Amino acid sequence: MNADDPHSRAAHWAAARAGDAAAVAALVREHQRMVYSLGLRILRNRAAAEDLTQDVFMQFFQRITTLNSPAHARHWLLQVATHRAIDQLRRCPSLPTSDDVLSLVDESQTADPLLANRLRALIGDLPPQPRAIVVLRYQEDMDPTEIAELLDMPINTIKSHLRRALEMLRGRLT
Amino acid sequence: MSRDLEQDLRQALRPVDPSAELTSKLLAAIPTKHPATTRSARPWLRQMAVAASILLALGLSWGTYQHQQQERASQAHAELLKALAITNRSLDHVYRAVQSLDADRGHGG
Repeated sequence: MNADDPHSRAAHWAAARAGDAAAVAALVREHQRMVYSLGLRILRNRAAAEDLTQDVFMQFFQRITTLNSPAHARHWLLQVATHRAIDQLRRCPSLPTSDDVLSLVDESQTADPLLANRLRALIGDLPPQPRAIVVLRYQEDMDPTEIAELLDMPINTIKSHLRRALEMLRGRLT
Repeated sequence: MSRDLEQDLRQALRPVDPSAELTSKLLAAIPTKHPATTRSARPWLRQMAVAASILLALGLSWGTYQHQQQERASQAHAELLKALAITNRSLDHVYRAVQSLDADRGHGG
């Protein structure tokens, strides 16, 4: 599939909705990184993130015919993965942090690996909802309006969470 | 510490690839092609079947209508013959009565 060609993308989406396994597999490959990373950064537990990714995609396979477009599918995956991760974290606040979660990134592309590890550890100290908001903002590069719509929260609440999270991070890093 | 905290956060939170094992599990869980796709492979067959059903229904309705019309025509024909026969018998009675009166007058005169 040529991802940049709208016709090819539309044809592929139609095939996936019709149950074409190859087209569905392409969707899995396209979005698994986003879903898994959201789970990993919010839950900070590799096994829990893998379980969450599987659960989200199982539900996605059942719901795919109700989704209207590739953009709708991405939005749905983001929304379900984020809500599930927040709910799980609220249910199990003492979920252990996997040993390697803080360093699970290609260090060659990071200017300051130690700082990156420190930031990931500090984000883990945030409560579930602000943590998810920070992950959506900086992992998925979503603006506050998009996050507010995704989480069905007032825009000012999102901005307030982000501001307080950045203040906390700045304070803890100095 | 870098001065641009937001840029540092983007670097720290870059998405991570899942393990190959998880990818395999996800791909293995994809449901097999559902029957809707098989049906859509031969849409003309369904259209033909629908068209044939409509034609058959129309043909049966037309045949039934024709049969009813014929039955009504036969019934009307039989009733007409019956009415003619009754009329014929009545006229015959009248004719005989007139004949009988004429004969009585002839004998009386």
